[in-house]
Amino acid sequence: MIYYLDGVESRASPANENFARELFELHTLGVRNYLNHLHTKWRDVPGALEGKPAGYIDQDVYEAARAFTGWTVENGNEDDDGAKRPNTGKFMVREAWHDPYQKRVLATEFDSQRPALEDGMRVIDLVARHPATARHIAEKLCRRFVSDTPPEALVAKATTEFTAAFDAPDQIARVMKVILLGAEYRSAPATKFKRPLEFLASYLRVTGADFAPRMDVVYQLDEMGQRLFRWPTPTGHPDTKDYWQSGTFLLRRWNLPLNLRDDSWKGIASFHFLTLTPAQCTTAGQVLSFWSQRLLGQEVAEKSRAVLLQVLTEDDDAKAASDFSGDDKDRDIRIASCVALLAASPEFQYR
Amino acid sequence: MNATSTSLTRRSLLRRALGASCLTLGGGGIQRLAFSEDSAAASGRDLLVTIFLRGGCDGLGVLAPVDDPHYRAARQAPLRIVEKGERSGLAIKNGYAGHDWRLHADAVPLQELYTHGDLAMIHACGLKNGTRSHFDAQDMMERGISEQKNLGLGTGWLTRLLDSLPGTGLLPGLSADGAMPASLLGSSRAAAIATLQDFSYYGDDRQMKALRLMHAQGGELAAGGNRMLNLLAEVTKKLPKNGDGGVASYVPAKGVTYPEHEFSNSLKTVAQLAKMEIGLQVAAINYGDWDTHTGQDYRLNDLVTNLAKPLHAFYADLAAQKQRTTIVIMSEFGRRLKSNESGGTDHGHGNLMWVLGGGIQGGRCFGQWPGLANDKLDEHADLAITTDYRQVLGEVLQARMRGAEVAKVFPGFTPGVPLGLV
Repeated sequence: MIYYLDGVESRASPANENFARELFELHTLGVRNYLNHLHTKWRDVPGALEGKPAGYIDQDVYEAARAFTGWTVENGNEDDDGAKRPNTGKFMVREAWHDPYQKRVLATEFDSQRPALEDGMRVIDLVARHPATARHIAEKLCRRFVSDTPPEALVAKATTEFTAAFDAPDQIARVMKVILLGAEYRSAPATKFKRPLEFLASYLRVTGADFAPRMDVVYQLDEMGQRLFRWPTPTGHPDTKDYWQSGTFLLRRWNLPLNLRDDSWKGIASFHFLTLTPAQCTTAGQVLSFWSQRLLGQEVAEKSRAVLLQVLTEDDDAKAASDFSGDDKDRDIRIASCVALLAASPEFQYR
Repeated sequence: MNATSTSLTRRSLLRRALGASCLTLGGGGIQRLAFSEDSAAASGRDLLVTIFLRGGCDGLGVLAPVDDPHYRAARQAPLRIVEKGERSGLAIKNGYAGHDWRLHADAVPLQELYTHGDLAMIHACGLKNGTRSHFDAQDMMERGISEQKNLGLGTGWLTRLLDSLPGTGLLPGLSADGAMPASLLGSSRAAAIATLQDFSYYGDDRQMKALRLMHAQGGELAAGGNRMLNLLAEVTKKLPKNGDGGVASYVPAKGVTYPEHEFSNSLKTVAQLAKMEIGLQVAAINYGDWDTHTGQDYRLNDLVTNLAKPLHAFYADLAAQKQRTTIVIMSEFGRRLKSNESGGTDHGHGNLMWVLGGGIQGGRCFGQWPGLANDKLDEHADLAITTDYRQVLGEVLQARMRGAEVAKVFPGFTPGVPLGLV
């Protein structure tokens, strides 16, 4: 984060505000507790005079940015005084860059002339322990693992655990236990839309493919909307389904299993459709049922059954009872085409 | 906020490795769509293209009063536009009174559009809200609102604009990006198409039919899935093919060359669809990476260059229909007047907005310039806002998009005295 949000270059004065702002907005209190449209002076924030401000404003961002000046990295750079930093990539403090004067963050006073490490750590303690942070992080976790609109009761339980376990070394693990073992999780319908990586992984798993990942796969995930390790903003990918369902993202999702079937990126995945199909499945209808159950956990909807049988038999007059004949290679490819469609069905898109 | 730049050649790597066996469409229950859309000229409506500069464009680094002592004191060149030297700012006419107004040295194509009378600039413009959060500010502007309490609104301003316009074309709204921006949130009339290269479904007719049936069973994917299938069927027919049946690269108008850049790719997608006569009325484009907290000198040079040149090419590409094309360029906020100590500027407030088009009273700067003296700044730090961003958009809609219901597009906004943009 020191690199990503420019802290590495932040020095007095004026400080670089990027890290401090996103620390409040994205990593801790959350934008819903950013009250700058309501208040411009720290003392006006509700609760501030009791030392418990309900949220934060730009003055907190400015002051926190000052507190972090001098937090940088051993990156081999030469500093103004001619000294060359080691090039280890480790965190370091450059005291000469620190703004040492008194500060006030979240209605808490910082004495002047304190070292950079202490000032910055105090800010992190303040934001980490703020009640808004417990709620914000708990809600993000619930949204990630349970539902785009997680049940309030579950968020409340996770928030309580986050606060109770604050000093535990496994705080987040404890919160995750509350979420994943909760009745709300077990009873939640499968409404989380698979991210492209999840879509790909579930497809490869359900088809028993041998998989040898290469960058081509990363590019393809990118075309489906998931920019692994290179999402351009520090928000991370949107965690609600609308984003993943838009236009060409959906088209690329439909095409991916077909590309894999055709070995478009030579040697990335090999499939064994025929081998996996039980020998007792001798009719097209039985083959379709087997793969429907395998991908969707249920029979494919009646409305699309006939056309899927046509795909499977490459015969427009196919009947469900017809023999599933042809040589092995041919049958294997036809199953692949049919399974690619099952993977493109709306039912397969949910986690 | 930070942004990694996108590799420009990556798309070429994504070309399908196989010789694309382009599908033949037509049979298999593909529904034909009626085209009852009048030509845009006859309808009294332009193609409206919105370009959102994400990350907070430094308006004071793009157009500035270079002789203002407050400006000179707040920044060192090259973060400041200067009057003299190799990289001096580009002089413009009809700036705000009292100062020598200059454009960024790399904005030559913009200067040309301005001088030609097609480009209007509105400084000290933006979202009148105290937020300096990218994501809050973008969300509000794209919903056409100005208050956090209305962020629950489930539609974007372009969504409501499209809903208020008649027209039954195949593709009234476009996001020339992989995803839908919040400005098109909840739209049933728009689709996201980043590029028309590779715009095809790889399956055969039977598989296409199966997809259609699977998406005909209701559920939240039904509408979007069917819209995409209809687009595939119709747009694919109109796309020029190359020798092996794949989609041929887009060929712009004679004499027009787009520079290699991601932003050019989005513009080309819009231009190609605009020329296809499929009822395109609104197109939204993103151009990211404007969050110059550090390294602003070289980064802003690149950003301005790669805004100005592609935009100029796009405008030339659509020259035949420029009388019915309007382009607006906006960003979520401007940047701090005073630079930081790491070679950049932090989140600010008021900003520059542009409107470009054959029907625009260009070659002038509009609105009021509030000045840069400390007591004129917002929070004593940032350029103040004298023109609400919706004033600009509303005026454009009123004059160029016949039938647009501005009050519905911007609920709760009361327009002020017209700026005279159109």
